[in-house]
Amino acid sequence: MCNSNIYMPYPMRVEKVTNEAPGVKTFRLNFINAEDAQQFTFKAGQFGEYSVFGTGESTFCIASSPTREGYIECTFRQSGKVTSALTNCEEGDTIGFRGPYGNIFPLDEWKGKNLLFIAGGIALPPMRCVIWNALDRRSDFKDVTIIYGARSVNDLVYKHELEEWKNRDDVKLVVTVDPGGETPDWKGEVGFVPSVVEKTAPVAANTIAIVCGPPVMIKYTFPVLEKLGFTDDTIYTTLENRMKCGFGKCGRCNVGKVYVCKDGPVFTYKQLKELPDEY
Amino acid sequence: MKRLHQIVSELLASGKAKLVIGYEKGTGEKRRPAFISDANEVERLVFDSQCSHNLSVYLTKPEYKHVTEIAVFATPQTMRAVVRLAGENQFQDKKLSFIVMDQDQNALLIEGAEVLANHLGKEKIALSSAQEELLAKFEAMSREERFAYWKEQLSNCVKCYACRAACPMCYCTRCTVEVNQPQWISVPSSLQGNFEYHIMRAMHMAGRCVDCGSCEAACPLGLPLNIITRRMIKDIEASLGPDIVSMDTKSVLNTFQPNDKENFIR
Amino acid sequence: MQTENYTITDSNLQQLLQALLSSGQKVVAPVRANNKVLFKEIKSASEVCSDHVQTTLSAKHLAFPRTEVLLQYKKTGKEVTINDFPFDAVPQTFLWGSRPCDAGGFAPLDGIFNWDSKDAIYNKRREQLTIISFSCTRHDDACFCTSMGGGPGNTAGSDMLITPAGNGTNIAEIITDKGKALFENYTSLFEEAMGADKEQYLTKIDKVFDTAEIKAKVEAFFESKVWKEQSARCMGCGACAYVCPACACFDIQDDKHGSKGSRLRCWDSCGFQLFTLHTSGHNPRETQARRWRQRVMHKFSYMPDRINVVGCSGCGRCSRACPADMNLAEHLEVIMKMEAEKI
Repeated sequence: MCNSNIYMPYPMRVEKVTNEAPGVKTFRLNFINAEDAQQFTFKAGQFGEYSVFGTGESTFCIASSPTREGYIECTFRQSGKVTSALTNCEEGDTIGFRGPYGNIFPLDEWKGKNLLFIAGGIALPPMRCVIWNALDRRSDFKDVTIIYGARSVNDLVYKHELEEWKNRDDVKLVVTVDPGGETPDWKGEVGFVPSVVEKTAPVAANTIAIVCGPPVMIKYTFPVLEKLGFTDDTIYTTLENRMKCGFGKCGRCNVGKVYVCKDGPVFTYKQLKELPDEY
Repeated sequence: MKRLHQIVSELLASGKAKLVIGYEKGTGEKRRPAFISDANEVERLVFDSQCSHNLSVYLTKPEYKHVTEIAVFATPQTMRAVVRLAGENQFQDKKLSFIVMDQDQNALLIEGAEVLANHLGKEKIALSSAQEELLAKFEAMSREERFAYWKEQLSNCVKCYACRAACPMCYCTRCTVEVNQPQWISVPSSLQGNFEYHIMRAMHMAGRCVDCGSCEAACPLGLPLNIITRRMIKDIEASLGPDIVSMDTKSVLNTFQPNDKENFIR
Repeated sequence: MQTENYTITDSNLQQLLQALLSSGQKVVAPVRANNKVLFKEIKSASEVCSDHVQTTLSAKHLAFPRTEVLLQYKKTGKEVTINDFPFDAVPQTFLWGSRPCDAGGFAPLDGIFNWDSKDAIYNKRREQLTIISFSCTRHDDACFCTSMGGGPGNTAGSDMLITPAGNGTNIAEIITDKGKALFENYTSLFEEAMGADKEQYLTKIDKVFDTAEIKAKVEAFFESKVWKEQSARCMGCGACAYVCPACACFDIQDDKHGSKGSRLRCWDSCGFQLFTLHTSGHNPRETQARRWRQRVMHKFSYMPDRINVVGCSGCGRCSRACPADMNLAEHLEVIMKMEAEKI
């Protein structure tokens, strides 16, 4: 590996495209070269650089679980140049992927604990990877609670999986939409994520909270969790600073001396408190 | 200098200026932009013939956009830029004061961009004979020679955008080079991309450039950027008449009139 | 290897350069253009400029070009063929006439491109590069190499260092195996060392601060208003980063020509407003003050912490290039003199 070009992506086949919500798609990607598929491994929380040849690269997490081998999935919202080009890709197209990069959610350390997943909007994908990873080794953990919020019913992603989680006895799922985002037949919660967390979160004792969402949601959810008795070293999140390289060279993603691409993207609230306000 | 410091002190004391953008001594003999909001610091300020930065460039930077009361040291070049910027409605929320030097090198306070425009009069942007001479030399080259010349020059451009950053008329919050859908100008520095960038910038300067020379002065590579802007000023004068600085002059390439004789825009 | 000392006359030095050129080697040296001096590939020894203090741009492009192709691709229907970087096509290159601070500037780059993942493209160019530096007999207001641990005759980073000793002679120090290889090809041009101390021929640059002290200071003053004060006149261009031998921040962009194209790496600057801007509009380093602080902290705190090298060789290019006359050495001195209560 030492003498090879670290910018070379794996060629990936777009195997399946799922429309999740307006502007949001999930791609299932297969390795075109069998040997790439064989040697590729990753862990929950890691990310990569996805590229459309001729347009460029874009950074997002791997949204599928490492327990589901042979493919990776990513979910993105059409917003910039590359995600727009990705949106135009069809099944069968070839795109690039390089990774995995970054640190991981320490699932092994969480054995025997309750897990509380809190996600907002398009931040369910990084969480989905951990959720499935945990559910695929369900007996390692005690209670699993998922609180997921989006602006409107239409903006909820992974609708079929939400259904699946809802129907499982070993998962407690709470889905909420922002006030005004509900439909007449909406049966879930209505309200912003922090207040729904306050109402529905399990006890803090022996529980790990994993929070992913837009900065404003995270900002208001952390204090709620602390109020509920969660200590800052039991609250995890992932940061999403702008990146180009993914391995600590391009100079964009650092928060003080900490590189989100190398030391992160997974951080505890305790670690975040020690960082300067540059994320 | 005493009169200068007195004017600035009074502006700060009365609250007519919350921020003063002037000059102070810099590295070696250089003068540099100075930012003062504390009356105790006015002694730092200088205003002499070595002061050349066009300080109007700061008025539209995000850092100073929200400061309403600003006093600016204005050289003749700065005055021209201020008047054009005011004409482009860039100072609608601002209460500006200007400190200029009169013919006897006495500091003079001018309050408001309109008053500054009157002070400046209907100044015509014209090239000095030295500038004309330089242009003539350049124009004496054949087309091929000129192309070879610019290829050589622009191959040195690293796209640091110092020319853009130093230009008072380049105040767009999102410059064409930063638009990537579509990608008008390629991001990396390459000969073709460098041509694209400088042509684009020239087009956006047509009829707006105040010939302050800031772009060329800012270029770390010493590219002769004023050949482009000055040639443009000449072209505009030849086809549209004198390039007058005033608050109501419309710039040639972003003015549209329904009775325009060209119909391509309709 | 242990540094070896020899003597070489001015005319033999010219012959050495001529011999390299005649043998078809790629030689890059300071050349005057537009009243600036730049490192350019030369074809003749007469092109070399020697009466300058410093080139405008550093020599970093020889290992980290301002735009370079990382890979190429070709699309055929739904298939894409990716062609790797042509490692074998990187030519052997001799950098002639660099300053000790140019050579020293490669240490931070080596660190950045090799911590954790190794950047094989950078390393290949570096491997192919032989650096023949010339000690400084003159300096200007912007130079502060001695405060950065370097000096006008510092050998670090050079493969061979030539110190002009007057009377048509020079001290030649062979510092590395690459320098030794060059020496061995042209041994007859060198003579025995004359035993003179090179210090007497060097320009004197006062050391005004110490890198460890700067590190402690900038960290202590992270929340200070000094960053805003100093950056008040910063116009947000990338001149300082682009002329810097140690700035390595880059962007990755695709260049498309019909069904084929390339993925490019190009210089970028932490001073640009767009550098850290998220698609959502959120910008972690929203103000020029934060971007200036990042620039200084990265060089003098984060890099020493993470890769054990200071991101500055004291060449002073940023100060010479800055259109708003931001003077790095002066600003560091101000921070050095700050007291805790000034925060």
